[in-house]
Amino acid sequence: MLRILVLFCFVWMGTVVAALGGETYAGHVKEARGAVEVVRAGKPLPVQEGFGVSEGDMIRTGEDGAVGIIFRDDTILSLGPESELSVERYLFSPREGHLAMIARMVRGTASYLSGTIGKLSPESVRFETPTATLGVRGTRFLVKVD
Amino acid sequence: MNLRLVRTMLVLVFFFVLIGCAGKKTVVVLLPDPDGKVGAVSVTTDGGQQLLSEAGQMTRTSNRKKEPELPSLMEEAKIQELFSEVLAVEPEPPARFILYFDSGSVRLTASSTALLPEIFSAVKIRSSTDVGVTGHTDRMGSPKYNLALSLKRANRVKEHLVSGGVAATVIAVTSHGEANPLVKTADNVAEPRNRRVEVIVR
Repeated sequence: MLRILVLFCFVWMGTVVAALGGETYAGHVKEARGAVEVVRAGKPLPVQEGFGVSEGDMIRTGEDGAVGIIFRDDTILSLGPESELSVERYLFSPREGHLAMIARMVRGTASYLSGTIGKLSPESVRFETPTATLGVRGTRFLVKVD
Repeated sequence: MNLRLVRTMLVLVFFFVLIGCAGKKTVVVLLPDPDGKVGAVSVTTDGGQQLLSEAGQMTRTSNRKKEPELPSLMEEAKIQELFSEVLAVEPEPPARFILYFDSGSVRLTASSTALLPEIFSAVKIRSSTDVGVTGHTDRMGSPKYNLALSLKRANRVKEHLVSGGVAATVIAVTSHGEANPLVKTADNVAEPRNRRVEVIVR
């Protein structure tokens, strides 16, 4: 009985710690240069290294801006200058089978390196531009939208 | 939000974008992974699909109604010309460490204990503010027991990291249970290589 209680406590602790330890963010900015902002619920926010990116965020860089983001599943997304991309969907809870990433790029240049979501469920990843839909299979690619 | 609603919204968004900016060109180039492996990218429009599967292959679309261009190779110099800023800002891929434990316990094996200094070093070198500690199980035995043990082990690893000087606030602990194996197996098959804690330093 005691052992069950101890195990339960650890599971509960683990979940709480997981919730507190930044699990609510989809990813974090690892590199930021020049003008970079994130528009969240209509509000533009200044971006620096360590900034937590959420599902629904729209990332925008200025003429001299560039940004590199590492997501919780280790997908790495980078944007060059004068670029705009939304993280339309981000779900990473493998235990519940919740895996999804949809990025929508409006303009600029981007580099994408797929992570665990792409490994476990490639069909759950989609990268949209105004004139194409990209599907990935464990991969790295560059995109330019004019 | 169910999937159909999401798909409908995405289609509506696409139509608005198309009306607003007809003629936006998309160029896609496939590159090797940091470890040299080459994956694949499918590029799809309403007019058709192209698959990029060799390093340096590119395709272009200008209009959703037309099929994407046949894949061709983009020269290194051109890749640099178009993408130098985004290539320069790309973060280094995370450092990944795999830790194992003595059977049924939360004690690291000797060889895994020996990995700890490398982890501390990686955190320091990268000035990391984002360290993931993730427990994993195999598909043998009670899922509840396995999950609890994997979380106990992950938390134990976090304790090791904190006593080595890593700030607790940058460490996120979770468990993927059996959902993210190193080695795929059928259900109820013991696979010690899957019973691990991964530390990912971003």
